Amino acid sequence: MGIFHRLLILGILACLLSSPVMEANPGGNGDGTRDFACGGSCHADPDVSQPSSAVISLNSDRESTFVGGPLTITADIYGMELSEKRLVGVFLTTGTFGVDDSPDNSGWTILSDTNGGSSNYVESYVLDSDEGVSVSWSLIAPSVEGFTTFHIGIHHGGEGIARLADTNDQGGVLVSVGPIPENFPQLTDWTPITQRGIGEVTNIQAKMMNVTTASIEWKITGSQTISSIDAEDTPNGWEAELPTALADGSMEYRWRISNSEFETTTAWTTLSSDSSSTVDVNPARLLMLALAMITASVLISLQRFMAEDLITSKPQKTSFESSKDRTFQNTSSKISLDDPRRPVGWSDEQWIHYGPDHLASLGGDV
Amino acid sequence: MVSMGVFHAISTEMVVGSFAIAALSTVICTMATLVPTLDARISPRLHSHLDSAAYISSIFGVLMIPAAIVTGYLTSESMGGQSSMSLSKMVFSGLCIGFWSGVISGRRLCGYRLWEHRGLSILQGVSASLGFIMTIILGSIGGQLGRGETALDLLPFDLGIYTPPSIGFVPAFVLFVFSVLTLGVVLFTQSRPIIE
Repeated sequence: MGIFHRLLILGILACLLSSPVMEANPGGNGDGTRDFACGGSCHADPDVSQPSSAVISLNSDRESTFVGGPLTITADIYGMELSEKRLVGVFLTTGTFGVDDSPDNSGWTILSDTNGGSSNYVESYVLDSDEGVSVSWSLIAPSVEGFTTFHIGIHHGGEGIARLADTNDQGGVLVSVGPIPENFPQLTDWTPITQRGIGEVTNIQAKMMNVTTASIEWKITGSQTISSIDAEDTPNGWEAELPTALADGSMEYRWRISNSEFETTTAWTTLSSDSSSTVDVNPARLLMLALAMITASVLISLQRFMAEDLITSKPQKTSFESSKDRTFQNTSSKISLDDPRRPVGWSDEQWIHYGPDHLASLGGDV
Repeated sequence: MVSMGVFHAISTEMVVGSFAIAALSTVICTMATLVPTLDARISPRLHSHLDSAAYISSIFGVLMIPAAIVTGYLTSESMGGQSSMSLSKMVFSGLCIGFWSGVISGRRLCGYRLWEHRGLSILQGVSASLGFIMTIILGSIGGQLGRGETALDLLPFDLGIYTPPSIGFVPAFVLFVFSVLTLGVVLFTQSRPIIE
């Protein structure tokens, strides 16, 4: 094997190995608890941004809740311009005035966001602007009664400039927080699980009061089909086991709790399963190289074994000779250039090629 | 500015196009070896051209695979990072490289006389076909990643190609060492026949 071939193979292997260690900036600032205008300091400052064409649909799973009670806010966003990164940042706020407008400033607690965290600002990649993106938050109401108006704001790029939009013109969603009814079933100690690895068993456990029956309802994100799993009352609280995730994706779940007087549910909590966050990429990289080498080894070994037969046998074909060339050679060995029957004016090539037919038409042999 | 996805599309189209030509040409040459009536209908010139097309396009396709992998990786980074389907792509890329390397190796070892041997012809045809199936699977996973759908969705069953094999670092490393040793043994200890 020449030095050129060795360098070529080394170059290919270097490309294969180096590709995963290259870094690229995925854009965005990451999920977090942020005000809509980021204090006026980030790229989506209204003074330097253009309006977005996005259509924002904002919904809540209930119009009223109680002190410490659950609430789910869902926003469907589509029709936005998209940048090369296709990244859209979505805010859940309790105002659109720019500062101190995240829900925690109004006493609300975010249990989970759509990415499996607990941030009021989440970033999503949008492949198709027409399909858009759906984002949801699970919240716990503040400890004081009152009214809160929720809004959605979005930041994204598109056509070379930062863009933003909000639900200020729609008026947002108004939610009232009232007193807790007496004997109302409640969760007293529960920290929701929002992320898990692929293949992990997920056991949901919570302590409750005024509860006689409890179950976990779950659905795949984006699906309307809701399944239910009965929970068991154990010394550690109520327990139920969620189905194991077999691939990337997310599901939503909530408790349905009841007693003889009341039945209620918690907010939908998003549970994300992401293999890339729990599985190292290096094994897959090694597996790729190993499969390539093993496959090639097996084939090369078989080829060398079977090719032994070709050494002992004579070549049947003279490889790349064309059919025309072969005819030319065959006939040239059979016809003489000095044949007296050759017509006057025929070139050697014409005679070799058309001579046999000419002789045949005369009734003679070659 | 042209995004990395465009370069990935260009490189993958060159890979898929090359391998399509290589697979089709190889399979026709294999069939010509196995079916005498077909061999009689294919002129030696056409057969020779098919053989050359298969050889050259498979080499070109393999050389373009690293470009497709690098641009694919950078595209996935700009789309939010690696996912389980990216891991599946890595695994199938390994099989794809292996099969097509075998196709090139066979043709390089035996030359045009490869097609005189039924066993070698069958091996060449099967390798090219499997290599092209791996290429189709890679394209299908790419379609799922980029558009959320693929033509393979029309199949009435799930191929299970989107879930990566669960393997730890130690088993993968052991397998890697074993594969290096296997390739070394084959290349350096097994005699290499000289075909005239």
